[in-house]
Amino acid sequence: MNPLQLAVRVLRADSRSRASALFTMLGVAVGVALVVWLAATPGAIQNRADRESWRSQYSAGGPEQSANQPLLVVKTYDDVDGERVHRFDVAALKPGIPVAPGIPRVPGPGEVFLSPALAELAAKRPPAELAERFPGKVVGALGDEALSYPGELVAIVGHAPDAMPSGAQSRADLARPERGGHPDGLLLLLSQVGLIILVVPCLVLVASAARLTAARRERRLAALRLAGATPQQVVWMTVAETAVAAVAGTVLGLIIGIPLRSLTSRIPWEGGTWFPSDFTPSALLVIAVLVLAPLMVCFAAVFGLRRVLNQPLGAANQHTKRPPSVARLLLIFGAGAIFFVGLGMAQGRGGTTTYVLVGLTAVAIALVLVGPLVTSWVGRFFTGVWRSPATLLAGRRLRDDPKAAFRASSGVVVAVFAGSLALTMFPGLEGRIGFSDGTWRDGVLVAQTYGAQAKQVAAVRTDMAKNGVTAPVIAISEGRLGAKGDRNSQSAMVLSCTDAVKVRPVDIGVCQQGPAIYVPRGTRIAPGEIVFQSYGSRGTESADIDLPTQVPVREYQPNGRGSATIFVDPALVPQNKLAISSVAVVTTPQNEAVARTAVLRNVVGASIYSNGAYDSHGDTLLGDLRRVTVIGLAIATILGGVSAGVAAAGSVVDRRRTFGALIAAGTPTNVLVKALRREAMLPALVATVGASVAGAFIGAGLLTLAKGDLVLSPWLVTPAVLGLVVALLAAAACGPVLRKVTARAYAEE
Amino acid sequence: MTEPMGLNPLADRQPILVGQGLVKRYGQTHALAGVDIAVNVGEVVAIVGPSGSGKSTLLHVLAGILPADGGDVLVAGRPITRLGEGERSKLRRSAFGFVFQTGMLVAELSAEENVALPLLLAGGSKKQAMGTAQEWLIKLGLGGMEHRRPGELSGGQAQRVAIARALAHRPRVIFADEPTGALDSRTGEETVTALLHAARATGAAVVIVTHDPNVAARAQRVVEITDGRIALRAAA
Repeated sequence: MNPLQLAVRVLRADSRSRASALFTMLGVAVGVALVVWLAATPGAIQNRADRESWRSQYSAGGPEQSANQPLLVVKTYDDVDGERVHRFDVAALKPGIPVAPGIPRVPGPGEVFLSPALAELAAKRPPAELAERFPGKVVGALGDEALSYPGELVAIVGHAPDAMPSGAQSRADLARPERGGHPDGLLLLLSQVGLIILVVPCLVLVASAARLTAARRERRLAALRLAGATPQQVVWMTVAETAVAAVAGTVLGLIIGIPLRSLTSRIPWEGGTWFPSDFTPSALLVIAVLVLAPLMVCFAAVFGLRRVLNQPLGAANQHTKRPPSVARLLLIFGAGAIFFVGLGMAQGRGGTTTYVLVGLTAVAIALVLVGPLVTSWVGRFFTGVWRSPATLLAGRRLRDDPKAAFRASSGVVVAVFAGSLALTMFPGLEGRIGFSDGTWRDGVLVAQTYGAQAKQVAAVRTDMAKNGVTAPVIAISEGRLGAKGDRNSQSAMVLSCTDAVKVRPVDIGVCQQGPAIYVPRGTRIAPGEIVFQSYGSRGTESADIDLPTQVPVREYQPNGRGSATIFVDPALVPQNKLAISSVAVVTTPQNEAVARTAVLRNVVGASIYSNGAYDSHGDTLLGDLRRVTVIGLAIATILGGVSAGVAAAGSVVDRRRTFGALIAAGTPTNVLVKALRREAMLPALVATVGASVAGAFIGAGLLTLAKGDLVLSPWLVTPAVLGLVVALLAAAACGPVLRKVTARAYAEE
Repeated sequence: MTEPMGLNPLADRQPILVGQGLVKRYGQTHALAGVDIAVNVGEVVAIVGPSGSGKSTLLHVLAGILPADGGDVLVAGRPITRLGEGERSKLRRSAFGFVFQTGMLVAELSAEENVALPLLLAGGSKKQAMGTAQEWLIKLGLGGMEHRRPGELSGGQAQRVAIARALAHRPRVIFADEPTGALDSRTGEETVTALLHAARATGAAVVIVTHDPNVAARAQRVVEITDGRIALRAAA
């Protein structure tokens, strides 16, 4: 009888081997589905970056066209209903300019391409609220290949070259660069970190599933070895027995991955979800998983048979196992060293995160390998101090077979590590997200331009009035103010007192008669002749404008971090020497859309800032970050819990006969349940604390790469507490399995 | 070390364990089809019979491991058939002791801890339980092996640890299910001798299920069971 026939015979004859194979298959399927999904995530991020890569290929030069740069582009942003609109004003200097997939061609003057979602939105709303922001005729739609995510709002507006707004830059084309797009660094780093810290519990789950009821198999194979089977025959029998479940589980996992992809594509990031095809794994990945997953499962099963191969009698008689070596402790220090050396390299110029990720993988694996050593120490401690039979049984088990005992905790330990890492990083990443800093009042739209004309500002007013909106429209010029020859000049804007009160959150009180300079309280202007240095723009040179002598300087109370600027009354500077850098419109929620349209129709090339839109974008990013953190941690927790439950239940099945005899001799089941619970909890208690500390250290290191500030909060203890709760719940899985063990179980094998 | 068990002075006519009209079914099969049996205080009774005759089932029903489908089991005159699993479990760990075919010791515990376990489960202190365990191990010739694990003991030594564990809490009845089944004949004989000696010292009755005629011959009474019925009762 060959090994495969023997394996099939065992599966047919023994219902518990069959159940164990089924669990192995399910464990492998869940692990494979998650591994494929996680491994496809960096690819999905790259796909997104590739699709939008046509948007940011600028030459180093300005609008001076050359034969190689026949396209002028101004890239701006706007908002509608809290969603960002990406707008590209373009002018082709010659026909046939290459474009990226999804863009029909470079639009000619008066032609507009809108993304389908933007076109739909524009059609639904009155033209003055949205459609009129894009002057010209909509001649086509942008395809999915040109969009970052489904439903993205993008517009490409064509112009004649001489009608292009200020700030245009020249480019060669609107095509994707050959080297592909640059993915969002933070998202890529998070996905890679997530991949590593979630793949490890996946592997733990697969290994736990493969080792399910290993002791029973070990006894059977030891008997075969004693009956004369060669080590090679035993290995092949194990491979055959495991391979059936592993191959079936791998195929099932790949099938489960298909609906999982669709679910994942609904998780938003940076304002939009994903195309399901983004998460389609490459053929190479699928083939690699199909081959490697069953091999790994078989390897895990065969690796666990070393004792049977080397000492069949020992395995059959359940001799004491060799305790784990203290040298394992060195692994954690070694892995930590790899991580921090990698971190140092990544922080250097042109550094890569590859070594950091290798170090992170090493730390996660080291935690799993050091766990049995810690478990054996915990066991040793409790066998010395036990008072109750439950503690004695648990302590002895932990000390004598720490590898098997820790198997139930390993997934939870990695989940705690992931949780502490995430919670260490989260406040720092959160701090990096930009929110409005109080520079402008709420409701004020600020159109930032490369130099608008007074007539454009007037046209904004006219357009708004035409649509029944009579909001203040204020032109602002910016520059610096200081005494002549003083190098420490300060940021200033040409803005009257009454207008400043309307758009900036300042406490000036009642504006006094007559032109003046308003400075934030405590600001000192060096005595002497005062000069306003205006910023230049297209059509207006920068200029030093001498302000009249004896001009009154009045103080005001700034509110908000960004509001401390100097205001210079427009009456003090000649208007023809100033470039308009911003146009501010004071709006209400009711007239905001019309005001935006009026500004963008007349001040083409402006990006519009408002506190509401900026905060909304910040909220979106914060929500994204929280969402991916919660999803990642939920997966880690579920994986850890399931691994722990599978391992704990498997350990009961493996010791069914001993437990049966104990129950037959009158041992109350609840004493055994208590012992099993302690067996699961005691190593988890120590290991989760260790994992928590390791996670905080690694998280702090990773945070330096993301350039966030370290903020330690009491929430950091949450993963350890949650890990213990999960370990306790998983240990509770022993209860029902143990209650199925009857007093007669001892006689059944 | 053999001893004429018929001369056991502690054996009297007072029954400690009685089975009346015991019926146990597995599906359509009658493992026990109306068995009546009584075991007196300090008496050694061997249950013999071919494989599948129902002898192990009889032992399990008498010990309260399996509930009977019909009939009654009385321990010291008190019926246990209608007791719940919790109460039967309590009875097993207080009034009964068990010796299984392969010892069924807890692999992780030392010999001493295995013996102490029933005492601890009965609420005894660690010091008292370990002290008693040590005494019993010495009585059974296992002095110096207290800290060995089951895997480090020979089959005969492991069975003697199992006997010590069965007797340490001074049960009234010891149930032995093929106690020599996994041992060679010499070790088996030594093990039975140890069991019977120790039982006599505590006054416990012994119910042994065995295939081995030599073991059966050491009992005061032999009960042969065939097809779930008592076929023969004989004094050894």
